[in-house]
Amino acid sequence: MLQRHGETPDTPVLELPRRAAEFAILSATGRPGLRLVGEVDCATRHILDAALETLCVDAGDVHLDLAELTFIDVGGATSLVLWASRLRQGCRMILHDPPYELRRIIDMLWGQPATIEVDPP
Amino acid sequence: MTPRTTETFVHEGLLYRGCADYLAGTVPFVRDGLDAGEPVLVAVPQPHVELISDELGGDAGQVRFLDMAKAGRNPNRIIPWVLRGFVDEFRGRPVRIIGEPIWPGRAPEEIPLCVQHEALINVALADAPAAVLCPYDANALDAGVLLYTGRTHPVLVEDGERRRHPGYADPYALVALLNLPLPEPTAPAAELTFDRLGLAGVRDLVGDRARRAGLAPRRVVDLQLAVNEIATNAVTHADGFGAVRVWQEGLRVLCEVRGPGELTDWMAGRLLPPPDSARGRGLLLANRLCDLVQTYVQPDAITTRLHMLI
Repeated sequence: MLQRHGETPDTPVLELPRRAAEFAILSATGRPGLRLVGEVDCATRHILDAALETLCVDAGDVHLDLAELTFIDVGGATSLVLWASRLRQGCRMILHDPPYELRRIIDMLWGQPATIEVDPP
Repeated sequence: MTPRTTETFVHEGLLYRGCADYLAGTVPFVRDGLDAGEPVLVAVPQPHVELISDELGGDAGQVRFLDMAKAGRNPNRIIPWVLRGFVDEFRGRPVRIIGEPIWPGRAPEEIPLCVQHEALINVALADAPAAVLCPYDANALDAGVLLYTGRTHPVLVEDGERRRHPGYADPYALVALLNLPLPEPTAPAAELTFDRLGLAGVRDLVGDRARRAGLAPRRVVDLQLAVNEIATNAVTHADGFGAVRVWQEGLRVLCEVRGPGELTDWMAGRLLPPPDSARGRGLLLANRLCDLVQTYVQPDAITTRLHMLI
């Protein structure tokens, strides 16, 4: 698993296992919507996309509990923003307790999308 | 030489010697824009912001100022967030911009990226009704740096004279000429190979090393985000393995991803895609979050090195 490239003598050997992202989607507790648990990257994004497709097509306001989302990449954030833009006219996707990186990605790449609400702001 | 116009794209280099010459070259450019009712952006290092602002007096309030040493610390950030951002804000109206991406004190490894950036402005704004003026300190910058001003700017201004420069080069050819191998790390690096099911391990490694180097917690997350995007490109644009290595040199953490692939466009990572586009934001975000992003393209591999200042 561990390999070196280039000529860098004295490279410390790392005992890091290969680790893939783990991700699950559960029902939100106490309100309609979904609870995202774990990490969204290119290994798990298809799970998120499938769930959003079911949840968002012709839907009203959508709630996502993100307190247990420990990582999300740009592709995952893009999925959220794009599916939010396909909700019924006037409806929004509400992101509850998103991790810092999701706030950061949305802020840097979209500013404040009209169909996304972040809670707390 | 025809008079300056902002109806079509104009990109001029200003070679100045001393404060008075700097003001003589920049302030009339700003005033002409204000007189014509054009939005004006002055993106220069902070001491020059103050110089121009003081000279403009009460008119400074009509000008947008940016400290280029911050906004353009990573030169790859300037086109999407400084230049194109300003042009697009005014949707088709003629605008004027003073952009000073190279100043004395820029680190040597930043210079080729600045020159590539200057060349690609000619591509990024080719269709924009914008006049961009780029001051260069002819007294303090290295002769090697100054030689490139004529290759990246179709027009040079010096001693009050504007002349079309015969050495102006095709932007992509110039960018490719500066596609150079990156020096080997000067300190031991931690390394890992990965495939598309191993990106979590890449983030772990980078997070661990960056924290140990003393990078602030949110900057650690920024670096993990950036590396993850580059690593994603390495394993999804072409099936296979990538390799990542992380090390520290002085007060910066460096993280390099090497993977299979070919670069299709040097403008990648320098333009914001349309809001409804599903792709094209990974390298862009890395440029936004990191202090420097170096790329070396070989026929069958791309190496991307991210720098974070501690």
